[in-house]
Amino acid sequence: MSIRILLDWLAYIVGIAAVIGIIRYKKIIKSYRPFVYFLCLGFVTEIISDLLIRVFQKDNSLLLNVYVWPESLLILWQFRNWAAIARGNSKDNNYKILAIVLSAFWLIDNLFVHNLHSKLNPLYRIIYGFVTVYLSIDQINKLILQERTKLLTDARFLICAAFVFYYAYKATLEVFFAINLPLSLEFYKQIFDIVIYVNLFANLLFVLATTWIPTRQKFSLPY
Amino acid sequence: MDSNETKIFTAILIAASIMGVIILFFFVTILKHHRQNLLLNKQKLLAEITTLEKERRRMAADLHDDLGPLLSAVKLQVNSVEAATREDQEIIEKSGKHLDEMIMRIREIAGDLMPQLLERKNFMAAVHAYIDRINATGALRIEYNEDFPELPPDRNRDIHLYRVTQEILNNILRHAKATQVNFTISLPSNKLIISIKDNGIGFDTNRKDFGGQGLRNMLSRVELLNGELYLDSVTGQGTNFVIEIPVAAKS
Repeated sequence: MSIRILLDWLAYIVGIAAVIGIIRYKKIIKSYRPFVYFLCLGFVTEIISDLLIRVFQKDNSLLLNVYVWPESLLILWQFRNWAAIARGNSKDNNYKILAIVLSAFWLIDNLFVHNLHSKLNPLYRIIYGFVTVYLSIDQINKLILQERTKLLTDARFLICAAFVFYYAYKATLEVFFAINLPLSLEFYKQIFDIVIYVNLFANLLFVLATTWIPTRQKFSLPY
Repeated sequence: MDSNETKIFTAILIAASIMGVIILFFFVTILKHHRQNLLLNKQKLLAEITTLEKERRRMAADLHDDLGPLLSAVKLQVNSVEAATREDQEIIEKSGKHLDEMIMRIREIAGDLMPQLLERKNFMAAVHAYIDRINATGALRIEYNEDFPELPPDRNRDIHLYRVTQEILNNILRHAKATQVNFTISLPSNKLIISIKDNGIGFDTNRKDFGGQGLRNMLSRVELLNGELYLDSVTGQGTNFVIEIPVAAKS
């Protein structure tokens, strides 16, 4: 089995996280549910994408260009829930505005700058990757100040760490796809392979995080 | 890939590796410093609370052992005075009653500062007495349930748990407008679980001004016991406090 095929199969680790999330769905605190939806969406997209390529020998660009839009909204929803827990619901409107702005960017990227069938439209991926990294770092800083137990087993910390790793790389490497450099297809494949390795690491963190999602909201106050 | 592309890709790979190491280092230092900060904070809390408890114990002892007997002696002396007139007799009787009230109040204050039962027996006995006292006032009906025989002795744990319980019940009395409280203590698999549920007005835990000194103290004490505090409250639907403390198996 070549490394390439092995990596393709390892992408299904997100499925393990999704299954754990589904099994624990009713037990975990409600604020983490968008993350479970995010995992399920990722898993289902991975299956459909593989079916399209391997079984039907078709292009998966349309699927992936559409997928990033609900994915980014689910991530935003998750951050909105965490912000609501941290201190009131004052940031609700900010997240709604951010969702509208991101959706507008998705429309511009996929309908005006490129089209839904073009190969992995990078503009939207760079923008929402950057937003996700920014929100994750903000959450991590809040956790450092507020969390009074070990961070290593804290689901929120692990999810944010995985987001920082994955989306920082993704947003950076998408730049190569945004700028049409006169480089071969093989070069772009190799660039994409870096994202696959980071994705694998992020998925492993997701599995741990899903296992450790708390079942009840612990009472906490900043120091 | 041609040689130029290979060189570019190698450069990207090195840059990506450096970025990965930097991000990893960032997270490792966060975890390390957070752990150190937790430890320091715990030590600081322990020092503050130990000093506070020592001071309370000293004050309770002073009130109970010095002021109490002194007032009793004064009462004896006042009672031994022979009144010349009926008015004097009334004044002596009134003074005797006031002195009785003072002695009683001093006992109560000393008991609040450091309950005798907590000193002599354990948390369960002290909290039971405290609940009986509240029930006797008729301000609140507290139903007490425990489903295990005895806790392994631990003086520090008992003091912290008693203070947390005292704070919660005081808050219910002062703010909750509750008529009924269910107080349950259970010990499933080396974990002490205390649940205090009232039928009061509840409150919005998302409120900006939520989290006063009382709640902070409770949280600090629960943290010192390596426990967790859960608080569920909805406006109009009462409040439920759950405290979970790991308890060493009884040897």
